[in-house]
Amino acid sequence: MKLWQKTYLLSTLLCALILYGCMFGVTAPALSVTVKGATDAALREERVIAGTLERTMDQAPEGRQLPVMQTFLEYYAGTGLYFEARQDGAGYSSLTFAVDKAPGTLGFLRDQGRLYLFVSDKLPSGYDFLYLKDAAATDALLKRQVTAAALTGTLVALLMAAALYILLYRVNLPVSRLAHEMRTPLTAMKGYAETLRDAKLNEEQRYMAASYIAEESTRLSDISARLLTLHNAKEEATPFGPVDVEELFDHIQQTYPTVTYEVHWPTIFGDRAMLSSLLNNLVDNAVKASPAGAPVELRAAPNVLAVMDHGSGMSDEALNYVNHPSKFKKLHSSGGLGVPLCHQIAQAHGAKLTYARGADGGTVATVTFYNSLTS
Amino acid sequence: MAKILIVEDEKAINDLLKLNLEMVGHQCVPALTGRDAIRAAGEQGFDLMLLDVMLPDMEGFAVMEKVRDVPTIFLTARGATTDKVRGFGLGADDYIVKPFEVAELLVRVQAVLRRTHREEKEYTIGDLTIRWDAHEVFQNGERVELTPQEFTLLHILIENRNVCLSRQKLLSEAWGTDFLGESRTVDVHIQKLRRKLKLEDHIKTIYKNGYRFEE
Repeated sequence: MKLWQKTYLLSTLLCALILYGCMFGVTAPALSVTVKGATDAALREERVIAGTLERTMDQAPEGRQLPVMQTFLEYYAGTGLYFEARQDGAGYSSLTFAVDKAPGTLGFLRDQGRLYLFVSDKLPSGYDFLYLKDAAATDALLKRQVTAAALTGTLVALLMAAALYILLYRVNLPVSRLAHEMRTPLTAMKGYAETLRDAKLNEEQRYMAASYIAEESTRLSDISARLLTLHNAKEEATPFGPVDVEELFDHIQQTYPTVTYEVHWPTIFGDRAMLSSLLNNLVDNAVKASPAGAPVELRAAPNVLAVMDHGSGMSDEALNYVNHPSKFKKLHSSGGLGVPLCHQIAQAHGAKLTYARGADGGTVATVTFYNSLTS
Repeated sequence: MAKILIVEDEKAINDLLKLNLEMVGHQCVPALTGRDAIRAAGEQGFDLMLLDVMLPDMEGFAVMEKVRDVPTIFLTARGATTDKVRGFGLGADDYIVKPFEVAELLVRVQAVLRRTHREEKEYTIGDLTIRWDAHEVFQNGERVELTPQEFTLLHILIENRNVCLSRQKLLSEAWGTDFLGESRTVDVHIQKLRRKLKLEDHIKTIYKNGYRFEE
């Protein structure tokens, strides 16, 4: 597993753990409030009913207490309340299942998946009195609270994981790509050196092997320069400032005399050095792709910088590569900073670099700025 | 001599593979893209294909699916385990990790050619003829007795002809990696081979390095 993938997994795991910890911390008090509210209400209700029952029985004629109690408690049938009052085996019960709780206790119990609240009490008249309340509503409420917490937690964790992934992937990809790109010159240099050492070569073959070694080492140093630039682009977050587009274009025109430009967007908010490097790259490629002396047009319209050439254009494969340098392999090696870096500079400005075929078959490179910060 | 299709988009590496494989007597056809490779394989038969996994126009594996019945060694980057699994799943015969050692590459190529029975059956140099499958060596039509070890050593030297093999490489290839012999053992066997087959002009000692069979 690559380092960035490990970093990603570990930090995601850690974030998820902390997040769930926080969710638990927030949810637990809410749950206990729900539970306490329900038990308090049940206790109050039981007190009222027990008190009334006791008074009613007191007023009942001697010997008629049991039927009076029965009538009184039956009144509650169908309200989700169940009672049991017993003394020496005699008494009344509307319970649908047996409950055995010591007097003076209260709490929750579950029967066939349904939640009940019970209060077990002893009446002054000597009866063991049990109050049982159907707590399905409370149960549903608790479940809703837990589910909501779990869902929110998972959702936030997923969002975080995705954001982290994009961040790490974006930051790591160009470097790993360049590291990958280094493999080819390394393989070639190693191979030709071994061939020179081990094989019986003629003059021409020796020349070819040595030339390849020289050529590939140039390529390596080019990659190393790009790595360095990439590193700088990533590390040195130079503060953005207003950049004069006209001056920027003028500067490029001095290097590339075939460039013509039009400015309809006078100031960009960004990093002048990076933007200049990006435009230089785009123009350099455009000039190389154009027939000698053909004009290359630079254009700045609000939120858009474009470089147009009238060359022979790119193949679909080449277009694919320059638009998605992370997905396709580079077709031909060339000097310069490279397409991945151009994309990165655009990204650093909240912009997107796209290449397309122009009306006359040439290539148009467009940098579109989406970020209000830069525009 | 085998006919080998080299599919590698980096010209430097394609040329490197071609140079070394031709050195040991194979005939090579280079292809720089997957499409070229598929076209070449459609036009002529090959004994082996060396295939880079990462090509500009298509994945190497896609080439493998199109080019059937050609033993394939694919070239992959270090650590790409999924590549290996996928390659073998498609019926690849071996893989070579970049950056590779040239001597290692040649040995692997020979191993696959042997396994797929596409290696040369006979080799002739001067008055010497060797029949590989029969393990027989003839000099001027007369049979020369070689020990199995001498025969293996000669086979490896000739398979990698024009390329120098270090004593270490010869030990591991001819005696096996488990053999705890000294490089002196190699020297002794080389002397015997030279004397028995009058190969003094062909088996060259390469200074500080090893031995090379030169045609």
